[in-house]
Amino acid sequence: MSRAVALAVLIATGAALCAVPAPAEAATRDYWVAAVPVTWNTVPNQRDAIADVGVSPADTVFGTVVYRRYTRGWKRPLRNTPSGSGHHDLMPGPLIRAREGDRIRVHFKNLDTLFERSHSMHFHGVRYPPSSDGAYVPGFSGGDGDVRPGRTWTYRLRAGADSVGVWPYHDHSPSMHESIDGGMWGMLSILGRHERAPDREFVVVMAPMGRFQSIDGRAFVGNTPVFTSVEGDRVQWDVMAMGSEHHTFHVHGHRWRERGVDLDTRTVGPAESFRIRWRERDPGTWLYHCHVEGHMEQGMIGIYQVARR
Amino acid sequence: MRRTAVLAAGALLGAAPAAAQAPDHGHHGGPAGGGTAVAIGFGTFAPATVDVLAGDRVTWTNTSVRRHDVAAVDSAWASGTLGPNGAYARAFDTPGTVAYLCRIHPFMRASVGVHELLLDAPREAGAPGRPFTLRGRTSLAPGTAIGVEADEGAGFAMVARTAAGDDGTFAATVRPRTSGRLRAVAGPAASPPVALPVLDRTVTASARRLRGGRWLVTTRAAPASPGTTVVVQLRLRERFGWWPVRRARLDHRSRARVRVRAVRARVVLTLADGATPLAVSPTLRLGRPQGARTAAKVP
Repeated sequence: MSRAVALAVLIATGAALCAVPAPAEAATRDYWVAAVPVTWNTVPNQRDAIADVGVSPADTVFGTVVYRRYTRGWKRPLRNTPSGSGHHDLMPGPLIRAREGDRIRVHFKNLDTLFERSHSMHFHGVRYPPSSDGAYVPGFSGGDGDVRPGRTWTYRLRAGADSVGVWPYHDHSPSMHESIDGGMWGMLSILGRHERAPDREFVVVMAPMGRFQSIDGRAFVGNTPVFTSVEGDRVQWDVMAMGSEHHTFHVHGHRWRERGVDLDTRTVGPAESFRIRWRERDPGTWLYHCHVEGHMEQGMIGIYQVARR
Repeated sequence: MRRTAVLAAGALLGAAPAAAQAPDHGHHGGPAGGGTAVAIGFGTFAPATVDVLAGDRVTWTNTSVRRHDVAAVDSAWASGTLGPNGAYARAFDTPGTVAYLCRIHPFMRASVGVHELLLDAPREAGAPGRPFTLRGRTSLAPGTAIGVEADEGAGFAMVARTAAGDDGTFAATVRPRTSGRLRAVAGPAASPPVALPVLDRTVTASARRLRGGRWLVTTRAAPASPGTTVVVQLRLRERFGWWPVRRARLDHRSRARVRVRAVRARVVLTLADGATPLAVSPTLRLGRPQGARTAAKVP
């Protein structure tokens, strides 16, 4: 190979390398989370506004245990979900954000003084050793699946290339079923190595809550999150279901494209999850809801407001 | 006979998730893991009378410095001698009153009331005509029809109906008019009555503009109700009604101060659940010229 050709190859290779963004530095992300007792109201405005029917606090207020995000060492409580997008707090649990290649350490403390039950955190979609599975298997699992009141456990996770997307996490301890019924669930949101983060990220957990069908633990318009964005925003919806039923997630006035097909409704079953993205261009107040009619009537419906820029 | 004004009643079972627990009423009982605790003092049992559900356990613990025992007056059972910190537990399955004593100090006498229905004693006062939810436990079969009777001075009268849940609990909402006693009934079985105090309270609110478009809302309740929960609600279009934004407890002067940013606000005096209303203030129309003040009493 002549010197000229070698130089050309070197230049071409250099140009090609320059065209690819430098790989994002893999990070270790620490989350401090506790199981805490709260008094929860599924319908704080005490009404189903669409049906114009009042709802009694006796039917909507109860004591439960939820995941709550804290500062390092569980010193001070933090909001679970990003502020400014219309989320309320505590349900779902903290949004665990990471990027492909990252290591995630979730430091969990059980502060359940209400039921004094064991709890745990079991994560979907990420890699971990058995000691971070967070699932209780009598005779096999360790402390990760059975964190008793007052005890702690650190779950060590890794976001691989196959982790990109959104995933559920939930209690998988001996009290799993009662805890999931009571709202012990949340989501992971993993970006690709070079993926741009959205301007707005909305977490939507579709789950039964007592006699209601809830979104993020709340039922009926005005009570479910009032998500907000501004025209031009890149928005991302993180959607998952918990419980034993399938739901059909639908957003009015919007469509998104998946595998070459335009959609405005997508089915999600227990512990399934998906993310939807679009650039917002439709100002107005829109409904989002489960299109299983019975679920919608029982409260699985909310509003999404897009402001003009 | 004055008719007790209880308008709404209903089965509330299954209203909350399986993990849920009513936050405003406790169950009878004491020791961790369930059951009822009785302390054996130097010369008394405390409490001297306990009411338990058929099947419940009672645990006696000797908290004194001398020896005691616990024995049925009819000699059906006995604990044996209990030294300091010694404990004895037994379950009671048959409804009725079980008298017992300390055989070492026979003047120490007490009893256990064993019931098929128990109502949780209300921990807070209700408001006249406003809903108040009562909860209880039963040893009767799931689905058994249960009534709630109120005595507001003219004898017990039925005011609510519900049914036993699968987990042995039940709940019913009443609207008391005045203070009185309540009991649960199912056929011949009746719970011991519990007292429900009813207070006619008013809550007032005033607001002062702060810098940055915020308002300081000051609220007071009368008669004085230190420790009672108040919730500031804003009238928000996107919330389709009144939306709770701040929660506080009235201080020793029966007053609370809360900062809000709003156009229309009101204050609701509530049970500890922060939702069941006891009294509601008039609406404060904020956003008026600086110095505007609104204060009024609930009619």
